[in-house]
Amino acid sequence: MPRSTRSSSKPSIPAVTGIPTPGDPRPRGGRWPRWLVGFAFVAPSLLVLGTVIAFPVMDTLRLSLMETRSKDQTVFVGLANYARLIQDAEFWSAFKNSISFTIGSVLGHILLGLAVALLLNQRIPFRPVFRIISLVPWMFAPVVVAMTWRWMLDAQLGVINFLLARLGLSGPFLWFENTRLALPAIIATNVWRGFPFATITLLAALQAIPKEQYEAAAVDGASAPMQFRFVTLPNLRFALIIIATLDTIWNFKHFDLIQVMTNGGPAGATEVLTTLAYKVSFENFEFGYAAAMGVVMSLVLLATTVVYVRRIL
Amino acid sequence: MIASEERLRKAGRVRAPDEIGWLGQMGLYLALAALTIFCLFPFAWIFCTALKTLGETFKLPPSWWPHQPTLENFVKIWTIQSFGRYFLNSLIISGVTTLLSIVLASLAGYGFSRFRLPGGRIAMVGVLAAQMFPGIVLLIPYFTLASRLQMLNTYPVLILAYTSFSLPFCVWMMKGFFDGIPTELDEAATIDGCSALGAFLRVVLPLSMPGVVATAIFSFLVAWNEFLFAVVLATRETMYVVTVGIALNIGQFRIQWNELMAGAVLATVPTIILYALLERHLVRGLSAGAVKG
Amino acid sequence: MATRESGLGNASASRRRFLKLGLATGAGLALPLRLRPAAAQAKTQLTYISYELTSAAAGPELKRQIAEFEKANPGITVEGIPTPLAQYTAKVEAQARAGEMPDIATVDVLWLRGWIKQGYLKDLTPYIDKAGGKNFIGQFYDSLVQLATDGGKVYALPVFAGGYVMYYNTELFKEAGLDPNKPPTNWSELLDACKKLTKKDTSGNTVQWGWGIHGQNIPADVSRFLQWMYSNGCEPLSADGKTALLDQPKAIETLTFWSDLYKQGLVPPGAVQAGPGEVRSMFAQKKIAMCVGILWGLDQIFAENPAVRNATAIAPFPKQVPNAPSLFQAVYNAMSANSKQPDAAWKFLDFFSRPESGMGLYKATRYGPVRPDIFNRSDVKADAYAQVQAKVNQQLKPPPIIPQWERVSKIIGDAMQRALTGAKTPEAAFKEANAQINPILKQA
Repeated sequence: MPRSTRSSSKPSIPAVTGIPTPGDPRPRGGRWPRWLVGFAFVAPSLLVLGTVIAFPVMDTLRLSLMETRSKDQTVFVGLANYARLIQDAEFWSAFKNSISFTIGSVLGHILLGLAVALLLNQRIPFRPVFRIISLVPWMFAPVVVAMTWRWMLDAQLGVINFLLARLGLSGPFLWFENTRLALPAIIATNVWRGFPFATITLLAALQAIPKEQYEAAAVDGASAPMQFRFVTLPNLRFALIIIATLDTIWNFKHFDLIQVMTNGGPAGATEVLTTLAYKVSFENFEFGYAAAMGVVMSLVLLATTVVYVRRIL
Repeated sequence: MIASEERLRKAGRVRAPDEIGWLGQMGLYLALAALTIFCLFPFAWIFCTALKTLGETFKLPPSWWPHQPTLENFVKIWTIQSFGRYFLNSLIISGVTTLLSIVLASLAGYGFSRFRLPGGRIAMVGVLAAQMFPGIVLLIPYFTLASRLQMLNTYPVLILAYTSFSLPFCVWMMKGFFDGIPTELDEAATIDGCSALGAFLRVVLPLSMPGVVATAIFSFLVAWNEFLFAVVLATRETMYVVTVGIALNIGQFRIQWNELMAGAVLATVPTIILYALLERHLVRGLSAGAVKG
Repeated sequence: MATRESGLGNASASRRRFLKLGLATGAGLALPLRLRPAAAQAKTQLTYISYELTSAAAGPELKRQIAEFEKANPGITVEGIPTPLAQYTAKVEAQARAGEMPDIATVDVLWLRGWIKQGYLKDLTPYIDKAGGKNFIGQFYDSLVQLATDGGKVYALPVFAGGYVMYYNTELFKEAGLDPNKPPTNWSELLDACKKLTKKDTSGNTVQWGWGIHGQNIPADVSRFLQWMYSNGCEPLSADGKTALLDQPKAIETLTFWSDLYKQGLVPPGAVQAGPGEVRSMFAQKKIAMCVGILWGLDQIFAENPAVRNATAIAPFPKQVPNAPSLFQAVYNAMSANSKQPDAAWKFLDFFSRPESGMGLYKATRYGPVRPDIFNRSDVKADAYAQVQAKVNQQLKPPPIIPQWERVSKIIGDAMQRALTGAKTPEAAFKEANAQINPILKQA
């Protein structure tokens, strides 16, 4: 990338490459050591995260080693909750569903989000209008999305089945009764709801790609698909990894949409770890067991994150 | 270089990146139409239901535009269901969360990007790790903490919680943007006598507007749409937010669909306004990058 | 410094912008930290949490009665906290465990035992004794009080309750050639009626079904299925709550008959998704002719389709064995164990236990009265629906009264859904459920 000089043209908008241009370790002659200045930038965020999350996390860890008998009575049981988790068929079934839900949602979000971002990056008339349109699904609270889609997919009263019947497809589709349709139905709803996040992030990243790179590639004779592969994608790498990581975390621990749409039914086909933890806590009053589930979930997410993020640290 | 490009383009051998043929144009419009239907179809359903009476809501075949459109549902939620108060609470909480997220995330992103901090990598992973505990499990400990600090039913307890939900993404996003800005700019600023903060504010931040906008919209939505924490942490009705107000229509014996949809429609208005206001900053990057440096 | 190109941003403008952001943030955080009323107050304030406060019918009536209560007790104000049902238990339990539970809470019978065991609720027996002991508590149906009693102590007062009945559409009966005054009284009559009431149109699509099944895995739907079991003279658990009885022949027979209705096409497809609201909707739209119902569901039906009002009748649920009881749904008011003003809270509970309160609630919502004497009032007697309900209420049987009921109910719900979808035979489904439930019962 060409160097910008102080007094000449505007510097180009940076690509979100994620490759740090290393900070200069030479002291600037300020009063404070450089690392302290840097720490001052970072400290407020760490403080907020620390205070809001740290105590609850510690408490959860402690609770996972306990059994709750009543409101005021807890008994230390060591690792018994974890041992019980390993043998709990319901836990593993929910784990499987959580993973399916997460993978399906993340893939859907990224693929659809990227496609829409590419589309919106073109020269199209009324581009701002279409941008707002593509943001609409994300604007609704998961509760609203869940209720709306639950109704639209209703076997009897739903408009989707009505339209499908009009198109000639046979039989009312029992989206929430067929154990094999229920989870895909929820994943599809979640993809619809969440793809704008990927779109808006990728769009910002796409727009930051300097045109010169495309022009240089074009001059070298690259076709459009090749330009996509060799210019677009590498520039999007950082954004894609961030989206994938965060989306994995969010979908793995998602709760609202699933609870309102199916609450784990039919017969546990859509029971995920979060809905199971909810029931274990508030219906079975086993808060210690639920805490253990939460800890296991977090460890899984931690491992996943480390794997993703190593590429960009 | 430009001259040779021109020649090649005229020779028809090379396409400029955003030139497409008529087939492509048609495909483009088709894709746009599909996108519009895909995104707006449920919204249209929501909107129409908000305008219907109960009797018309469940008729089969389903009617789209109501035969007798009515605004009574909107009136009902505003007068009977205190929606105005919920709306105000949502605006305050989401607004402050957004501001706080922008400020904290851009500062932290800059810190991580420009400075080699001891334990910096661990801190970055730690920022992400803060997200890893599912809300359902943190709920009661956080509630207990807030209760002990006498902070239940206050704005800050929700603002801080939501900020912690949105910070991980925002910090990483801003860091990514800052990483793409060459440090020569910072150096130039500091040589001129700016402090690190000054270099940040004057030079680097203005160039990262797309990132700031994405951060703003994201944290606003995280706060605006949050549900479970909003329901449980607000122990009095005066602190309810819009998402809770909407969910109050899901009753034990029946769901008041019309009021629910009316609430949902109203709830999207601030987001649309916010996006419309910030939209042009997303575009600025494009025009600035067109000038060759 | 101002010689920089404008592309770098106006220096002081961006600093100002940032400062403004910072100030706004600070101001936002400094907003009134407390929304609670000031500490020193002449009035006692009670907090009352309920999912009923948002209901279209019950909400206004409850608020009216609360206002009446405040007028009759000038030193007390009541603040209602409406909460959506699906998150209600999470909210109340979080509050209870932190010692912040509102003074009074609505409790459904299904959670009641569990909440008592967990220590969320206050023992009301001293207050009841002061109010007249047996004279006071004897005003309510015995079975309702029994459910709220643990170890001889009473923890909650019933607010409304009702045994399950059967809705049926008299017009559709007439069209099918059935006598609208003679609804089915046993299962074979029911099957016969269902077959006659299921109609296809000219292209062979079914447009009307005889029965509506509640197939969601929620306690309300499982309870409706239990009504079938009770009417067949069987029950899911033994009387002492220690053994599961789903593998008994009569239980399997019930599940078989019930799921067969679905398999024979006498029930609209999508039963697994149908909760009480959906089934009532289908009844209102005349898609189904009969279903299990509860007295206060009628208002939803009439609101959705006023035209069906005259054709809607209720009858006792068909009994397969003589004297089969009805399962009942019940909702209670209870005081929280951590309440700081128990005396004022008791006044509230007492107020809502008066016959006038029950009467007001019945008139507004048709919520079933919890006192037999209300059914004897002349205006209630004149209501045809109330007459049937009074008869049904004479033979009530509670749902199983164990703390683990929610968990057990989920397992039964799973079995119900497996039988409906054909994933398992009814026998296999119930045998499996039995095997899962027995260990849970041993835990208590």
